[in-house]
Amino acid sequence: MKNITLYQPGNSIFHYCDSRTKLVLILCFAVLAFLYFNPLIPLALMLVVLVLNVVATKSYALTNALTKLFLIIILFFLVIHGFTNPLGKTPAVFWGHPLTIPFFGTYTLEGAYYGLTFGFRIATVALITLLYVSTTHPIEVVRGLVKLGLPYNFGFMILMSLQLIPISNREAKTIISAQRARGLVEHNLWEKLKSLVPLFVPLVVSSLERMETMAMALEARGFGYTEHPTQLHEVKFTARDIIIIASAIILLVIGLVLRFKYGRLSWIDHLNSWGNIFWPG
Amino acid sequence: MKAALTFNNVSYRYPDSQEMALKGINLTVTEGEFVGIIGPNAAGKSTLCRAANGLIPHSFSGDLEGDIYVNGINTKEKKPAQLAEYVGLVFADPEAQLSQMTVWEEVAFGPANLGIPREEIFKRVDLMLGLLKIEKMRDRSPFNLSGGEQQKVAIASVLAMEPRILVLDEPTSNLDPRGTAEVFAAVKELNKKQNITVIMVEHEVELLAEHADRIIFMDHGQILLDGPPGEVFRQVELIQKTGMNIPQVTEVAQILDKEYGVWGNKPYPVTIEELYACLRNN
Ligand SMILES: Nc1ncnc2c1ncn2[C@@H]1O[C@H](COP(=O)(O)OP(=O)(O)OP(=O)(O)O)[C@@H](O)[C@H]1O
Ligand SMILES: [Mg+2]
Repeated sequence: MKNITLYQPGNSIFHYCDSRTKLVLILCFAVLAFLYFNPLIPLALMLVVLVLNVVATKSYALTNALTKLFLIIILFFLVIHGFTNPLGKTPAVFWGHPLTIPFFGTYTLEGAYYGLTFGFRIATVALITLLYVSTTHPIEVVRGLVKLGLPYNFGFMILMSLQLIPISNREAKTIISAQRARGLVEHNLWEKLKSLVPLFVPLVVSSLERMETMAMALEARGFGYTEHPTQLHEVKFTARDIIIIASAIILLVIGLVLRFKYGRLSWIDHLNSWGNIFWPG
Repeated sequence: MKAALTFNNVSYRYPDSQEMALKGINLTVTEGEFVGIIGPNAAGKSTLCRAANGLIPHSFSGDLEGDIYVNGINTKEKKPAQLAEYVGLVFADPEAQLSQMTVWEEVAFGPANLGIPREEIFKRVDLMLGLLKIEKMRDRSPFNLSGGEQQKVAIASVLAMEPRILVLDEPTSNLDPRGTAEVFAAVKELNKKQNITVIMVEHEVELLAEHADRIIFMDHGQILLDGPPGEVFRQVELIQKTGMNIPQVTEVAQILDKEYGVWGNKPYPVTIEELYACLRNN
């Protein structure tokens, strides 16, 4: 098994900055994404974050399952809100016709506007978080969170679950093959589902045992013993971190000033055509 | 000879458990010894290992009576992380004790957690990788290695904290015969060349009989037998009653002894070489 976590070793600027710097980045982008109520700004933020991800982890940024999942979520929001959002009043025109489905109603421009706004907001936050976990060693993730005041045990738990998921996955495969070898043959979906039941017990038992061993092994090797463990790869708070944090904060301040001067920059009440969604008419 | 590890009348009960997992254990292991521990399921072998490196009582609550000394230090007075300097513990499940992205990082992890200076860690890691002969794997992920290699990484990573006592709790139970042989060879070499005290729980009695200087047989939280392999494995009935095996050579010796009275009061042979030597002399 190659990757036990989402972490992708590499040499990008994000791999070398302090884990707290990246947390500041997450915070700034999350606030910015939710500051205004229109799809344009979250879309721009999402694209920026996507570019940052590509810089950090190259093709992994686009090919991993999570990025795909977020794109599907955007699509899902677009459809669901389009049909059901209570703000909807202007029917959207598809090739000259409005689109109505029974029980849900008519697809509206306001719904699409709302769905896209939310979809892009969530994708922005999710992708900036992905940037954090894919460029930060799991141990550093936990140390960073503990430094920020997260209870130590909670950090420990996150670390364990990060590691347990892929291991359990493989264990499940082993147990399935063992049970097939003992003559368990599934002919249809129902039988497949039934065969999962005997899988569950050994899986839970071995996961619990493994968790106990992990906890003991980490404890015996001094994990969490001092507040200042030796940094093996010199990840220090450097000029680089200060530049990243400063730019993120400047961006955030500009965003806040504009927000208080010009409001939420929403044009949901002036939608006449598809084009209006991305630019006020 | 200096005592490396001492148990003084130690009894222990896990929280929410009626039965005692250890009952009045008295044990002294001297420096440089290779002690093998055998016993059926639930005998208390793992509990003994946890008590030896301070996980009991520091990470497990429950009632501990008596005292345990590691290099003269009472384990009640130091945390497992501090005791790691004196005693290292290796577990059965190779993967559950590995957590880092490369073998090098894995070995460096323990000392780094203690805040030891970088240059010192770099030196120690190179030394340990050399001792366990795993230098070639330094940049590989520990999760891509064979079970035997993983156990050697696990051993190197506890030794990087420079303990003089190595406790191994069934280190070969998840391994194939080749991995098992690799681990035994590595441990034996550490014991002979580095004079590291070894305490090893095992069910591979043949290998244990061959390598260990002393065998301890446990059941129901007590030490029932304690002595050189040839003397302990003489107690065939006692051991076999619990469902445990004894080395095949010893079984043969027992049959010969019953029929011809070959050995008298002497210890039984436990390896083929010993059996052969005895038979030749008679
Ligand atoms: N974490 C725990 N909590 C409660 N009871 C435990 C715990 N671990 C072990 N025990 C109990 O303590 C007793 C001794 O267990 P221990 O694990 O030391 O046996 P063992 O000799 O290592 O057995 P095995 O050969 O199965 O590994 C058993 O009765 C067991 O059920
Ligand atoms: Mg055990």
